[in-house]
Amino acid sequence: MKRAVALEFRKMRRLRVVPIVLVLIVAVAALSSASLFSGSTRETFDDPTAAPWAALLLTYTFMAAMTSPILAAVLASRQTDIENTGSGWTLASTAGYTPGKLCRAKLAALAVILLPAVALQTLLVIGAGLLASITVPLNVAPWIGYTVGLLLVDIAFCALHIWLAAKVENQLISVGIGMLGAFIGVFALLMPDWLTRLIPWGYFAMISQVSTSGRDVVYATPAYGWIAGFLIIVGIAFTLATRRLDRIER
Amino acid sequence: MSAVITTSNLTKTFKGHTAVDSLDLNVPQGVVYGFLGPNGSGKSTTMKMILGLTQPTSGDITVFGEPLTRASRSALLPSIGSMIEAPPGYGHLTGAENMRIVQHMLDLSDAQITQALSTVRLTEHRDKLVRNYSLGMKQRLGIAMALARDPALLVLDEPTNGLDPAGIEEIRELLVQLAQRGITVMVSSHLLDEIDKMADVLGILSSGKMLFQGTRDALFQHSVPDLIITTPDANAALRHGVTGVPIPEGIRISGVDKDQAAGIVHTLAIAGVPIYEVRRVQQRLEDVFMDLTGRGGLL
Amino acid sequence: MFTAELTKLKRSSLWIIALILPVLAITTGTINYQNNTGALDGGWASFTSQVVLFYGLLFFSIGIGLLAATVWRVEHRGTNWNLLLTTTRHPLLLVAAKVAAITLPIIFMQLTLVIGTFLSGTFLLNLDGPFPWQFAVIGLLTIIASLPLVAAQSLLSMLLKSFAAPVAICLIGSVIGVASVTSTALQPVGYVLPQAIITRTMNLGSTAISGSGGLTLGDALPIILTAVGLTAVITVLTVGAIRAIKLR
Repeated sequence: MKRAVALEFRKMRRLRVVPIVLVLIVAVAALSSASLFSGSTRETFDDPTAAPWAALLLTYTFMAAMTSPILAAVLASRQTDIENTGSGWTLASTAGYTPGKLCRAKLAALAVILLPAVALQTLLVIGAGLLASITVPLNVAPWIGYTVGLLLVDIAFCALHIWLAAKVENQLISVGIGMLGAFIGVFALLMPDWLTRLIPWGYFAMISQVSTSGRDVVYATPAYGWIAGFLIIVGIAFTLATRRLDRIER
Repeated sequence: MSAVITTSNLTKTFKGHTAVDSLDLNVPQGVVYGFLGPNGSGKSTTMKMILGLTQPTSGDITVFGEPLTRASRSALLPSIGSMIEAPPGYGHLTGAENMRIVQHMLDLSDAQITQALSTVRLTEHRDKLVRNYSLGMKQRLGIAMALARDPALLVLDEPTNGLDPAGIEEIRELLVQLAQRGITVMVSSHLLDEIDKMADVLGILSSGKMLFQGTRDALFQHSVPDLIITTPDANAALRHGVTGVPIPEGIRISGVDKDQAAGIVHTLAIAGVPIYEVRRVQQRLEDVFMDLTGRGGLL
Repeated sequence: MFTAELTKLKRSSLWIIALILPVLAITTGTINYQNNTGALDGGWASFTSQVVLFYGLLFFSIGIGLLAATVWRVEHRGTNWNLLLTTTRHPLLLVAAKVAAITLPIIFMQLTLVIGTFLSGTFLLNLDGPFPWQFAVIGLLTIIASLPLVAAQSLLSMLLKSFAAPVAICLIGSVIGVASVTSTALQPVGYVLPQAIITRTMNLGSTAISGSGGLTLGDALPIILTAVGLTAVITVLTVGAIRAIKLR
């Protein structure tokens, strides 16, 4: 498996994966921090009761929910479609690497890229907050919690999109679903809890460490049980689906 | 000579259409086995089943004496080099980078890669992006990928597709050399001339059924070449009950074996018809093939 | 030429996406309106603003990226380029036909959006007052405003064989577009960036984004003129690209 993952990194050459991810990370961080520079928000920076960090985290959660599904879809599509166009499935199959194994390796490779990327994204947002002179001390725990949650949900959706990109040759389906999912993800933040739990893209909202009560933003504990359940289901589904891929005859 | 590949009653049906029908394949070791057939006759499907890429509907396959199952496949694969359908290759990578992927998939040495590339004469193009390769170069890269693992068995589906005459000859000589070194080469094609020049053993497929399997000589014995009698008076020959077609030089008679030919010559000689020359038409694989497959399915 | 392009889109899943996207916008807008009738009390104006909010900010633009990638995808498979270039009388006709082929599903999307909003507002939410005709006008104006992005994505999808890469670039542009509309620092970008042009057009008269302007000639005309101008420039660039790259 390690060798298969290393191979995926070799295939990534010239796919410009790193630049795409970097630009998007910076853009999302910038968007999340945009609110910091408006006059009315600046007044809250010294006021602990106004929870400026929590407000910033809320905006960040929002922006990430909007863009992460599409990022996952695009990354997965690029890494998987090369096999469709380059007869890669057959080549790998004759070397003993079944399509299912390739897909699992692709997921691992993308996960390795996403880890520093999401961490960097969060650091940039925090950095922007510090740059804008928020003097209220930072409560690190929710930020770490959200970052980890976002990383895991991102990986879960990469799994979905890798499978889709491998199963259906027309990439419009995989990337299109990513786009529609992003739309749903954004609105999940505004939907009632019982509904959000049942929709996959709702989990971009479920991992949120902040919520609004009235006009205030407060820290809240996400429903870890549901999140864990979601991740486990995705993991099992991906494993089973990739095993089935081994039986597809092209 | 033990067989490298044997199949028994190999069948593959897709939704009501039988692509391969009770095939009994026998590929002996160390030969170039020419797998011939019109388009759509089931050659690619059979090759995919031999490589374990497609599961047979029924029947058995034995490779290197081992039955081919999902489990045994991974042990057998490193000794089999193949290229089926479109030549593989990631367009966004160079030829060398593509080879390195194969190298790391199969744990090969740098020397094996360099050797494979030079055998197909791609060394000078190794650092070009594959998306900029010509069709022939992509084909050669595919063959290099199959050769890199120093296989004992090569399964190639139309390997000379897209190559110019010089390239075709190079590949043909290469395959013959490999067979002389003891490597078994299974080549499919519908280029009869090419197979004619390199294959020792032939398997002829039509509509999923094996029409003939055996050596080239055995095949030519099946089909009887036309007899040509050079005579100035073809009509006289016809009058004496010889069924044939008049041609400028004399008369052409089909489907007569040796004894019948002797009988005809005897008849004409006694009747006083002048006989200048009696010979058989040079037989070509194409004619034999057409005879066997009924001229139906080449397109 | 255009009919040829349309035939290539037959049986494509592209139409399903073109249907689902506006339906999603209407659904989420409706649900959102329902849940927040306290804060959103402007009747039709609030409702339409909710429908268009994220649709116009991000998802319509990404949808265009997807449509453009789909329309050009058929040419990149196999050797269809040769057929295409040898049956085109002039590169400009090819570019125009492709742009038109991308615009047709967009028209379909906008019609669905307007009609769907009308149906939802009237029958599901029972809003008072007549359906704002301004919304329908903006819906149609957006089609014109979307032309620069259509042309830009068409150029990208023509040049890049990958399906997802131009969509990624579209996403990045859309994110920048969101920033340019919501922050004052990046506002100049909003006048030339195709995604921002779309957002600003769709939000003319919206109550959700401040400072978006109303449906007046003064606000709309500059946007439309910029759109037409930008489209022309990008089209010329595309023709040049075909000449320089494809017809070497």
